[in-house]
Amino acid sequence: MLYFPETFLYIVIIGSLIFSGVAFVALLLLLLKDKKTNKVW
Amino acid sequence: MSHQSAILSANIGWILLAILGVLWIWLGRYWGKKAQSMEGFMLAGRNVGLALGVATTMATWITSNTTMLAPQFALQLGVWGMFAYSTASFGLFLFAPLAKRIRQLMPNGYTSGDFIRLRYGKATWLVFLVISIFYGFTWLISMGMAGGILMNALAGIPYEIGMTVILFVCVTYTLFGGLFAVIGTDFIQSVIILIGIVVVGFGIVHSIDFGKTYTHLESESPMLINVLLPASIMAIFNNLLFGIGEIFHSNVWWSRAFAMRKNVGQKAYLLGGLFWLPIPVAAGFIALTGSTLGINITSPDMVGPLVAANVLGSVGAIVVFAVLFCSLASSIDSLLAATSDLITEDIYRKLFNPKASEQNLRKVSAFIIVGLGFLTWLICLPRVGTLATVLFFAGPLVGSTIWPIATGLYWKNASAKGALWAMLLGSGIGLIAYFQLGWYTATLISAAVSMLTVLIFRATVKEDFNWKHLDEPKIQTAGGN
Repeated sequence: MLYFPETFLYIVIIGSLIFSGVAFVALLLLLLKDKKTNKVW
Repeated sequence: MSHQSAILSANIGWILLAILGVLWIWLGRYWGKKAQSMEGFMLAGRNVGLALGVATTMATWITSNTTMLAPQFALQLGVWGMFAYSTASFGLFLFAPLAKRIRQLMPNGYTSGDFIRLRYGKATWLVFLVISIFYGFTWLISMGMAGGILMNALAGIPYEIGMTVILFVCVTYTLFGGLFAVIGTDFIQSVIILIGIVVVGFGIVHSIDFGKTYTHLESESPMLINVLLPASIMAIFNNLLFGIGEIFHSNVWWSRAFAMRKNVGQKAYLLGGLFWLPIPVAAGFIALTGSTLGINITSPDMVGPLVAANVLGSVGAIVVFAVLFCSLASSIDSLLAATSDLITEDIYRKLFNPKASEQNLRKVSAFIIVGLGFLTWLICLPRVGTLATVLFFAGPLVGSTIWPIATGLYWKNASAKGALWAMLLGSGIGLIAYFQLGWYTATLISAAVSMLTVLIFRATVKEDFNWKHLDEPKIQTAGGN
């Protein structure tokens, strides 16, 4: 049987968590930008 | 579910439930003040910016099914199961150009039903409404059930009571604020979900020995890390197409395309998809650690919350509680609003009362939101099955709508009869596959049959649709305020 390598799984999992954190920051920055240009709603 | 002992005390569960419930209802009332007109209530004034657009896209697509079913997929289908769930983001990516096209072709559109009616005629429209409303119900039911299961497993709150409270909260704030309330709360919910997933995920990574977990999986459950697990690979295609079908046809996504500012829709769906992509892996991987930690999982859809709470204790359980509550609320509110719009606009106004006043439409819409909530509650009372059973039953139905919608938006010669037969044959044969072969083949087969039907009719029936027919004038209501 061919298994997913341990390192590959580790990178994918940690990468997903980091990317989720980046998404959180990006959302806040987008909101700030929309607020500045008065384009929230 | 009472066989698994609760991790939080019932008191903490009730306090959390009360805080989150009151917060959403208050915010719903606050943003609801903007919804002065019917267009404001249904489409948030068609002026939603990029930040709220991205957040609502992502939060709506992060359902309880993402946070509870992704770990279940990982538990049952292994690593490919998590990846399979992640492919649902492709629906958002592919809908991005469609959102732009929809806004261009139908600047005054209200629902996905409007498009099918104007593009393919009444017969196809009626079949589409049956599929779309049925799908909306299965999604609502799966989330109502998830709410009850969550409250019970995490805080020992009886299934019936937890489910009732969640539905009540969502119905109330959607009723107050329509899409303004839905999109506004979606932003806060998406922020809470992202923080929660990152905190729980890193907490678990920090608490476990990754190498030991991997070795344990290799010896005890090797199939879960097998690169060539046929059922899982099949599940990837099935889930990919299911996700595309769900998004392409559902008024949840069409209403957002109509609600976003011009030139925002495409970017919002692309970014929303990108931000959603890692969530199933970030939420799903924790299920793979369950057996190493010796946690007895008797209900697969609860594996994620149970592992998180076992590893991180009360804090983990509180965070998971908040994340799941937000996942549930962000999708239930969207479905209530979008399905109510579909029934109000497509059935009530188009079929029964074309001259309805704005006041009348608001009343009907409110009545439908309450009615939908009540029906969902009634069906959720007896637990029908696992989340997957409920949700995937709708898979072949929505899979049959992908091609009629995509080709209808771009091909002038996409046939109306072809769209009708594509939905009927795709749904029928897909459902046979669901029962005879397995859920993981149903959407795949349905979409394939639907595609063939669309192509055959396109080649044999000559049609030349005029795109201007899609630009229907705005709702002209008598006695509007």
